[in-house]
Amino acid sequence: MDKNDLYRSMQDIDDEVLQECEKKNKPWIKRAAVAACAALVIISAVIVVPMLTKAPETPEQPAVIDKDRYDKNKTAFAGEIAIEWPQEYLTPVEKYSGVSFNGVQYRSRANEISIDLLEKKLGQCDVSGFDKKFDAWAIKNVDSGLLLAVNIDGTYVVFMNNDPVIPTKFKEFYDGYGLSQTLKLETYCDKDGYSTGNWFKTDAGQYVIDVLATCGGAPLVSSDGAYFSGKKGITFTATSEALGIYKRSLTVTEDGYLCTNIAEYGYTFEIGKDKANDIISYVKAHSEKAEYEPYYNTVAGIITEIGDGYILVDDSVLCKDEKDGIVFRIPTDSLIVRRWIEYYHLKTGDAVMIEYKGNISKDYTVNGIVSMNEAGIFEDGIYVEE
Amino acid sequence: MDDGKIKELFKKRDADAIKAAEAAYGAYCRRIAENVCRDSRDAEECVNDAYFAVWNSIPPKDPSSLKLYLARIVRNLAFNRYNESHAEKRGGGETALVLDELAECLQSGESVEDMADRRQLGELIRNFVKELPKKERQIFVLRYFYTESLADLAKRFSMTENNVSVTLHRSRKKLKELLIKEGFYNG
Repeated sequence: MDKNDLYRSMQDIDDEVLQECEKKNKPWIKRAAVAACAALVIISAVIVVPMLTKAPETPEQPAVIDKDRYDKNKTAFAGEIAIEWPQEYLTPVEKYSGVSFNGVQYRSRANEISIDLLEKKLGQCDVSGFDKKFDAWAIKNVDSGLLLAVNIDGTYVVFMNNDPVIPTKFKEFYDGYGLSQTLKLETYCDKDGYSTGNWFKTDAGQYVIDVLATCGGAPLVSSDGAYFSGKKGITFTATSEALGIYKRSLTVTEDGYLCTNIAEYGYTFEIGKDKANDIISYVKAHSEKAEYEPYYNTVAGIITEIGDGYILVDDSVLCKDEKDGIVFRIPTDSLIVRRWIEYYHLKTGDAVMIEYKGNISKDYTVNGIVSMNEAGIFEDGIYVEE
Repeated sequence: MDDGKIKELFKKRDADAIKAAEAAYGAYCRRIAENVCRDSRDAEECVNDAYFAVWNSIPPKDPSSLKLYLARIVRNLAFNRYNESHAEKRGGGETALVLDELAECLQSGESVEDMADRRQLGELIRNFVKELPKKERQIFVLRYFYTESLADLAKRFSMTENNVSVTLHRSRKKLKELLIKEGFYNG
């Protein structure tokens, strides 16, 4: 018996179990190939320059964290995963995943939006699973039939139409999502089929948006991303607070297609070889090489202090030389952090892992935390610290 | 057209059966095939081959779900294709990662070949999966049957990729213990 036998033996899993896996969230099938495309971006996208998603403001320049300090034989793994947090410890995004507005179902994109990106209040929406109503807001430049912002107890969250009208031409897509105003393209990678090549920063994002504005007549050729795979081109990282998206992908291929999962489904438009190669060649001439970075950044270490409004996490346990350890300051104003202290009762000496999509300021305060977990520290595969 | 009606077309040897199957399950099948063999042309061929395999097997076969019957055939064909292309060193993709993960269930022991009967192994997997908690089961099946990426699983279950990895690690550990307990190999 080998791994191939084990893989093949999964064929014998019962129908009811396979069906159960499809019930929870059907769109994974429809998102199809663009989800795969997104995975490439997710795995290797670059966190650079100003983040477009809402992250706490930091007055200072970010700190530079030297990754060479870390001992490659030491690893931190996130631990507990199945905690049922009480309602009062759920974030608005976690608590409310669906709303109904004017008879149309919307689901959460799990990203917050600032008030200054909102246009006007549209009315009230019903919250799925709760006897509650929240205010629904139109987002500036975006068709409210596609996306809404919902005011959940003072936090505005982007929601998307569960069953949007599929565009037939690129203009409907471009205008519907207000791409001229809502999207900035600042990083990209070379793409060859499923492989990603080098990563670049570019200042040609506006040029790309302008060229795309002239592609209004481009027909939709696929809404399941089927045209995407196996093509050469460039893949932009598409992040937009107004659209409630973080590090999605927008690919322009040499043979004349634009493929993106900005709208969730993998829309592919045939923009033509001339427009596509205009974009690709211009962008390549106006870019500089950038470093690879993961989807989210992570800090991990041991809690050394739990103070008023913060906890301190020391990562020296993961370093080659303990003296090189950094003590990170984790603000506890976020429920994502606070619940681990108040409800889970993490204490000094416990190991934790924090994922963030902001930056680390010069005093080593971690901003834009998206998750926190209890962690285990392993050395050479052996568990050494909790 | 629903699953039962498409199946009826196959049973009646109606030439529209394949067209109907493609309309209903084409994207679904391509997704599975592309996850496994990572090449859209190979995936397309696998899906087409799967339709003809279904055409040749129904009747006499009468699967309860045509969709899942197709899924299994596509996955199997795509894995064969993956093995051929892998032999030519055309890159591993997600399937290579999945196989490496599954190898963890086996690596520290010696295979007891006469026990490693394909049918018994299938039965063990079928029962093992049923015993997993629901969320863990779904993550396990989506990873090791559908070959979904960690990023997609993280998104689908609103978890971090780290958490998905840890969940899968726990499932594999349980599977390894079961394989040892049931005598499939010596741990």
